[in-house]
Amino acid sequence: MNLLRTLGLVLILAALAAPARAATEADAKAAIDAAKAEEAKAIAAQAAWTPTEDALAAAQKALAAGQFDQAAMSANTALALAKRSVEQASEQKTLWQDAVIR
Amino acid sequence: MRRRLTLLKAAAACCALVLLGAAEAPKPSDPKADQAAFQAYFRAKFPKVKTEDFGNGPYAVNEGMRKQWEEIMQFPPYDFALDEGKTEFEAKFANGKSYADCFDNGGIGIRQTYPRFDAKTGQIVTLDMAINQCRVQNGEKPLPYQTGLMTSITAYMAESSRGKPFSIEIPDDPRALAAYEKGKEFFYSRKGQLGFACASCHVTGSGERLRGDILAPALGILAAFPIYRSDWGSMGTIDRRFTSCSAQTRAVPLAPQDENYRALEYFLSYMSNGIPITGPGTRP
Repeated sequence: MNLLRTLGLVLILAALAAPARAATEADAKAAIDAAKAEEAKAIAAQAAWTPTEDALAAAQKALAAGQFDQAAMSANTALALAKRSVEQASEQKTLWQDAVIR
Repeated sequence: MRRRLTLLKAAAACCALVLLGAAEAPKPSDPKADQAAFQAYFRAKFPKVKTEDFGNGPYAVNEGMRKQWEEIMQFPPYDFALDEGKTEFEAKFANGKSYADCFDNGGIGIRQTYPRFDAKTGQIVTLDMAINQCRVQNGEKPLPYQTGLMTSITAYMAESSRGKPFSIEIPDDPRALAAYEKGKEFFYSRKGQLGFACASCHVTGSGERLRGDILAPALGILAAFPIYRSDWGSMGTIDRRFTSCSAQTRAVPLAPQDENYRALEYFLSYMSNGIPITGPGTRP
């Protein structure tokens, strides 16, 4: 029983100590594709943000340079920004009326 | 029991009415009422500014900037554009016609009537767009919309309208009202990563300082276009200003003369009916 407990503890510690898995080229490409898809929605709604475009460009540049971790990180930033811009456009469809001078 | 049921039915009916009210589509705009409220807002906010002065933007609401402007105006930086615009406007196209053949009154003194609603196409036509339509109809290439010769031609045409009040019409056509509504929505909608609407700066913030700039009131804000902007070091059209405003809020700018930008120009110009044309102008 003690042996099992010790073995379990060792396994947990080993899992915690292991470095996070580095992003692969496939991970980076998938992240970029997801960000592009969301950004396409923002562009269609005429609601795209310039920082999203910048983050996407940075992701593609990192991908081309073989820096897959950086590419995935920038793509995830772009995805988050694109999602927020689509939300903003959706919210503003009604909220703008609160600002009208009456 | 029957009484309780009646009460329940009445309560349900009340709830339904409230819910229906909440989901009710917004009422269509009344442009005349909008215009009256818009102009009253700015007159109340800037009681010392004369109506005809609103076309001078930040110089109308800030004494220090006005003094600088009066000095700049001793040698207006748009004079070169005016000269170039006059020459270009009077030149003949390859087919022997000219811009004067495309516009009412030979294109002189008509700036204040643009943008217009074109009943044939159902589109809003800005002066810049009409200039390019004229060129294309006469076998010439269209001009770029933001800088260069377009600014010179519109400067010349604006100068011929100086002092004439904006006189924008919204005809009794649902397409015209829809365009007006689109422009109104664009003006009041927050955009970009910074979440700014046009109204954030030019209604709420008008007259206030944003870093080095004094924010111009939205009333009469297009009267001075095209403008020589010190920040640009050159002339620019309304399109150039709209796209740079969009970029400043960290929104991806729309294409010049996009339907939304034309609608915005229509809305803002209609709101400014009665404010005289002051263009071409200068801005910091």
